Amino acid sequence: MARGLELFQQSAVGFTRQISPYDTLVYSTVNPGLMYALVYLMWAPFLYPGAHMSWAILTVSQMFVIAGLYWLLSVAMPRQGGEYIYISRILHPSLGLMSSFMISFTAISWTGVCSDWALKYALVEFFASMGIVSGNQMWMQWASFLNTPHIRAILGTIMIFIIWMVFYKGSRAMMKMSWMALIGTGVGALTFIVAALMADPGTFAANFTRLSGLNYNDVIPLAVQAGHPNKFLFGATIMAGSTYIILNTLGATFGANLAGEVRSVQKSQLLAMFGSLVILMSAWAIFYGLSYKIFGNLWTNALMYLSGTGNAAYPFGAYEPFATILLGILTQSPLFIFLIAIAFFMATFGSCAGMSFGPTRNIYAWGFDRLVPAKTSQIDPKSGSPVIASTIALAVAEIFLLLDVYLPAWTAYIGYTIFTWFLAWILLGIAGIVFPYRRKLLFESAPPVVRGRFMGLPVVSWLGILTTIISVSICAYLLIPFFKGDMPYTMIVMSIILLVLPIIIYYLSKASYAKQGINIDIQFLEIPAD
Amino acid sequence: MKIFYASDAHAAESTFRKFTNAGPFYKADLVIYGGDFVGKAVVPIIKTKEGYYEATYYGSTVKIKNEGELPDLQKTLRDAGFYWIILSEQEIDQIDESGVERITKELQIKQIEEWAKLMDERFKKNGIPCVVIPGNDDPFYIDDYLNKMQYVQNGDDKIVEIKGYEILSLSHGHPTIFKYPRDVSEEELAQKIEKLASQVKNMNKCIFNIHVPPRDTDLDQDTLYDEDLNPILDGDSLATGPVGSTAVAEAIKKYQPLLSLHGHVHPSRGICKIGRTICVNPGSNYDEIQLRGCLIDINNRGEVELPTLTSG
Repeated sequence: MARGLELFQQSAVGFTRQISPYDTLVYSTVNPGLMYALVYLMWAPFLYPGAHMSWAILTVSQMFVIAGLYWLLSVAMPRQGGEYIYISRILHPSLGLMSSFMISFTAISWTGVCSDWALKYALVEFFASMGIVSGNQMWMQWASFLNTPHIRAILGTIMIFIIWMVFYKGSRAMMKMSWMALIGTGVGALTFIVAALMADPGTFAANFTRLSGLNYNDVIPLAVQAGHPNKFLFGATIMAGSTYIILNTLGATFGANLAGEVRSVQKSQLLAMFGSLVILMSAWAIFYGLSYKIFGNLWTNALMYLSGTGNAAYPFGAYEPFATILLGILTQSPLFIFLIAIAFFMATFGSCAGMSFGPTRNIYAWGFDRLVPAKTSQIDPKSGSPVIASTIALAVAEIFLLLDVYLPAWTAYIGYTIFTWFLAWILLGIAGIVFPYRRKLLFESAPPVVRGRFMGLPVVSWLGILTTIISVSICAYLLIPFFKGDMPYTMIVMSIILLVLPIIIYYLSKASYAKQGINIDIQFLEIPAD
Repeated sequence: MKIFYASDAHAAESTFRKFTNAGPFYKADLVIYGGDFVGKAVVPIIKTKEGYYEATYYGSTVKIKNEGELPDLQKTLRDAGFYWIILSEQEIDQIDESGVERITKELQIKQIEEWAKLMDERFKKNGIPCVVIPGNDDPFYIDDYLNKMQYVQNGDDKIVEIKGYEILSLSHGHPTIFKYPRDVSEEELAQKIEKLASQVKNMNKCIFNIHVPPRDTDLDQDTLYDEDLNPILDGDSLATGPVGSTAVAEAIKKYQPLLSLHGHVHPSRGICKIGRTICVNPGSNYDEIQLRGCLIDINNRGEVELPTLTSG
């Protein structure tokens, strides 16, 4: 660097942005969590029979459009709060709160639900897999004990409390959790690869027949008999990918919530949003490709279908056909079972924290703008973290943990989360479309990358149009299993609650401040510069 | 009476222009600016031998091949609170510290001249009284330009009476790690406030307009730095803590003015009470073309209504 340039830079006093671009990439990659791909490998082929999960990965390309919209908006408005800031400023504060509330509480609910998954699919299935492979009933008794609702509720609560302590420590501690999740994911992917190199499909088929008591070759005919199509279908693949695979990428945009805390926003957001999608797609290619290679592609879908429909022929009873069980059958090795269980636990626990971390920043932003009690924007002087916002988020996570444990119909296939999230992104898409026109000054003063045009229309508007179309279509895909009866009515009820509640909160807050003679809307009005 | 208060525009052009329009926009009867006009950095736009232009800011380098795109870049920099200057590669190689200082001073003066003129024109046109002060970041040479204004008043280090309210204003701050031009010791700051407060006729109708906020309140929490200007770590995260002035806190406790307005600590946007005095720091997001401010109503009984923090 030229000495003169250094002199100019030294004379500047400036910003304290503590999260590096690479940390933001990690954060965006591990949220919601790469290894949930293994859970959706069980669910998506049941809800969308005929889906080819490897090809379905390509549907993630839709997320590049949405990530592109987030990127441009975060460069134009690099403040904490993500879509809340964009929609509030561009459309209306109540709509900003609505979309942000829907996304935030969906993500927060994952912290609760996924704490339970860490226990169910890592801890419980570890013991169950050991029992299936060894035939030792003691392992099965432990699995059964740990699978009881009270034990899961207690252990899940302890996990949520640990997450609260991480939030209290602040951003750097959170980043360490993200790294833990990434390492867990790496261990999981490696375990899959090594297992695939060690064994062949014939070994798996023979082991399955011997250990499960169900002939490997009978699985597909039984599933077909129960209504499963014995082929891959294009439409089912698109819908499964657009819902459950895309679900796993939603955190790619979380980096926007940290925009106030990242260095060189333009570079870090680009790296985080697009880089994380590429990493995610590569990771799933490993998980899904190897699963289909080792276990058989149509066979895998058929087994998931038998499990999902509760077919009497399904051989593992209350234990879902998670990777721990299938890899255990393949390798018959306690080491592999342990590795996949610990990897899933690390990845899930790390991402459980991440899923509420961004939303706590959103709650903080609402408090600042008086849309919720101002106390929520209080910063703990010792840790510098928004401690009240964190406590609210994790209290809600605890409620969802208990729902998942005691009333699982309310969190079934977490369908409500996808539906709610994309309803919110319809608003984001509309905000993107009108941004150059409703916030002309901000648009025109934004860095050049934001002001690009294509065929005469601002690129940000194009991305807004595409985001709206993608979001509407994904909501429609979710209604298919709902109308078939495979998804309970609770999905719609939960989504409606998350849609209506923020509007009620907004108008209560508005009325409460109006009584004190304060019009909260005035704070959002933009003053003309000229 | 309705008062609009903002501070810390730090050379951000559109943010400051919004300030000059805030009076009629919020239907305010009085507008007060709490200091810090100047920016924190000059961004050289380097003209390379190959004929393109290059500027580095916020850690990113922007390259421009077409000269016609330069005004866009210059506007973006101005709106983010950066001064800009076009230099050749040879010029940037040859420049020394005194050259950087000279350029910075020239750019600051050029802007404050324009801003002073703009404030005078707009506030006069709207008939809304306005009191401004520099802040502790602001070099003393900008005062000449603020003092030249005909309509808007530079209230620094004096009591200005408007519509029956006495506004006590002070640009100086307590010692900071950054050693700003108007940093003085806490003792000296206390004396300056004392001297001004002794001239106030009625504290029930007095508004403090002191750039730095009171210490150990919701208005002064910020990242802490060591002597080498590196952020201090507290375990895994950046240490934050009170960075306000004890002299200001003591003065508010002692004199109990009706209202106390502050800026300086950009992230510590908030409202608090010291005794009966309502204290406000609206914070600053100057680099995002967003004017953080505060609307304060004083009712007919002379009481301050709950202030509204704005993001205009």
